[in-house]
Parts: sequence; C-alpha cells; structure tokens
Amino acid sequence: MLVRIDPASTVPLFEQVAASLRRALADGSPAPGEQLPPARELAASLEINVHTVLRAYAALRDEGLIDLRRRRGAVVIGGASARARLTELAGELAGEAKRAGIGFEELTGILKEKYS
Amino acid sequence: MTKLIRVLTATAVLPGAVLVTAGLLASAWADRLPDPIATHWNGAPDGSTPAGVFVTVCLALGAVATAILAVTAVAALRRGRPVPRVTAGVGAGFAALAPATLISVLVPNLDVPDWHAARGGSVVVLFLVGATALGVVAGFVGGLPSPVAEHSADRPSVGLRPGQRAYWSGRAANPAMLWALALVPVAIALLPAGLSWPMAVWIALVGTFVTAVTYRLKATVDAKGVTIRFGLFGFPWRHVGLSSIREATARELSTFGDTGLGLRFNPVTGTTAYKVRGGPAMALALESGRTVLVSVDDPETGAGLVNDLLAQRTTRID
Repeated sequence: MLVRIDPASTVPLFEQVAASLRRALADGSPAPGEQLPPARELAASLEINVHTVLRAYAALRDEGLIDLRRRRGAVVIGGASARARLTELAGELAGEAKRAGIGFEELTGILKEKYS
Repeated sequence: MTKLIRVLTATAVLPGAVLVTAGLLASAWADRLPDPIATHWNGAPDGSTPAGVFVTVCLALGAVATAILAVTAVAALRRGRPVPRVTAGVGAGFAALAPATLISVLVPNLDVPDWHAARGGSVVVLFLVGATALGVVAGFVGGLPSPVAEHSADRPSVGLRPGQRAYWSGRAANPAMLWALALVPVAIALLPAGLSWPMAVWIALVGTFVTAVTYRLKATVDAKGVTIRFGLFGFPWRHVGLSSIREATARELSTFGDTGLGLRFNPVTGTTAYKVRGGPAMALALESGRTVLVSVDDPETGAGLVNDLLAQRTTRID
C-alpha cells in the first residue's frame, strides 16, 4: 500500500493519510484480516506526528473499514474494500454537489431516486 | 587493465605465492622430516600420513582452489559483473588454507626422529590467522564494483512530486511452503523403518521454526531506504539505505531459479535474494554493482517510489 502526503497542501495531513489508506483498501490491498502498518512506523517514515496517523486510523475505524485493537493494531475488516470505494465515491459526490450548488436535501433526493 | 591486475593479484598471485612458498619449503625441508609425518593432534600427535602423500594432496587442493577462484573472478570481470569484496576475500583465504595447513603441519615435524615425537600442533592457529589476513587483503585489493550501467528504460515511477512524502509497504507469503514444511516431518515419521519419535519431533520443531522464519516477508520503502523483514519475527532483516541504491525495477522471478527460495546470496553475480515465492519481485540495483531481489506483491509501486525518492534526493537541497 502506498501512503502519500503533501505537507504544502491545504488538506489536513490526517485526511491525506486517511485518503491514501482508503484508496489502498478500495484496491483490496491490504486484504481483510491483514494489518495496517504500526502507527509509529508510518509516522516515522512520513516524518509526521504519531497522533496524526492515529487520527487517520480513527477516521477509518469510524467509517467501518478497520478495527483498532490494543494488541493487534489496525486490522482490516471484511468488506472494507467495497465500503472504502463507496466512501470515496460519496466524497466525490458531495464535493461535486457543493460545487454545483446543490443542497443536501436535493442530493439525497437524487440518491433515493437512483437507489430505488 | 588495472582491474584485471587487481583481480588477478587477489585471486591468483596472493594465494599462488602462498602455494609456491609452501611447495618450496616442503621440498627444502624434505631431509629434515620423518616419514610418515604427524598430521593429527589431540593434545599429543595421534595420527600420521606418509609425507609425500600429505604434501601432494595439500598442494593439489591449493592449486585447484586457486585455479577455480581465479577463473571465476576473471570470468565475472569479463562479463561486467561485480567481484564482491566478500567473494574475493573468502575465496583467496580458502585457497590459501591448504598450503597454510601444510606449512603448519610440517613445522612441528621438523628435525624429530619419529612422528610420535612431533611437537604440539598449536602453531596451526598462527597459519590460519595468516590465511585469514591474506583473505582480508585480497578482499580489499580484488573487490570490484561492476561498471556503472545505464538506467533501465522501463524505470517505474509513482509520480511523486517535489516536496511530497510517501511510504510504501508490500508483502508476500507462500502458504504452500507452510504446508510442505509442516507435512515433511509427518511423512518422515510415517515412512517404513522411519525415525524414532524424538527425532521426528525434533525435525518437526526445526521445520516449524524454518517455516515461521521464511514463509512470508514484508518490505517497506520510505525516504530512508528499503527495509526487508522476513517471517513472523521480522528476522532476518535488512535495511538498504537510499543513498546506496542506483535504481529499482520490477521483475518476474522463477520459483527455484534466480538463486532459489529463502535468503540467498550468489557470490559470482553479487545478487542477494529475499524470496518466499516465484513471481513478481522488486530488484534493487545498488551503487556497488550488486543486486538485491525481494519477492513482493505489486513491486512496480514499490520500485516506482524508490526511483521517485532517488530523483527527489538529487534535486532536494538539504
């Protein structure tokens, strides 16, 4: 898995880390049951604070992609690949809607129509 | 030409000089030696060999080892391959071992009436140290990196822009090896006229340990370089600093070719392989001319990041 950050970007670092990992999870590597790199190792490699990495891991946990366990670290949950892809698409969708000036109610209306 | 002279000095002249010296001393001392001579010590001399046979065998072994070493090293040089220091050094030390042993055996036999009266054999340590020292010298004289090669045309990249930082981790596992190594001791134990149970258990334990160590590996890439960790315990491991890497490429390995499975070193090509399976692998071409192969999934991305970090390094002003 490739994690890439740009310290010059306006996007917060933890979001950049989370986005890279989400991309990797969407591609199916690491697979369910496998671990993400230890937060300390990833932080040292990217020369960022370990809490930044932990915050990214917490965001992925809240999205239902990984499980954070005291002993085993960050473990990928079954079905993470599809969920990660959906989260990415939903992010793009929300961004596109904002740019087009479409409100949340209208967007959910479009979604409901498409889903049924 | 100077390279050829250096390689020949290390692999032919140095061990050859020891060989010739040993031969001259053996012939000069012929009248002062008993026949047979003492050739084995266990505190006191407890084994003997006819002097002529011992001298001939030692000199022949030394000559064959020197010839093999020199031919291999020159062949490697001709093909533009590196002659690693370790190879030149260990080779020369090994080639000098037989003549060194010969002299160290002849010295305690000098001027004694019978082989039983030979002096202690501890002088052998001196000559072994001498052979080792010769190996070290040969390593420094004859160790050569390969000529700088052009960068490969198909150099992968992940498009890392200046100022960006990145981390990549890849792994590879060989579940088939896990099963094979787990089943081998069972098969041995169940064979007719098989081994005793304690022996089967012992083999099973060793098999399990070897499997745990070598059935999978993990490689990581960051701005500091490439780190390779084997197996469950992350050992053996190796860190290759970014500054010692020339370029990285992806390549396909065959399962048993390319030096074989496990942690392998080929002294002739200077290739070290960290390999748990055949298939995709990352190949690191080092500045020293050696190659490091790592069997790992998605090697294009890992190799691409290495190349991008190398490019960043040459443009970055620290």
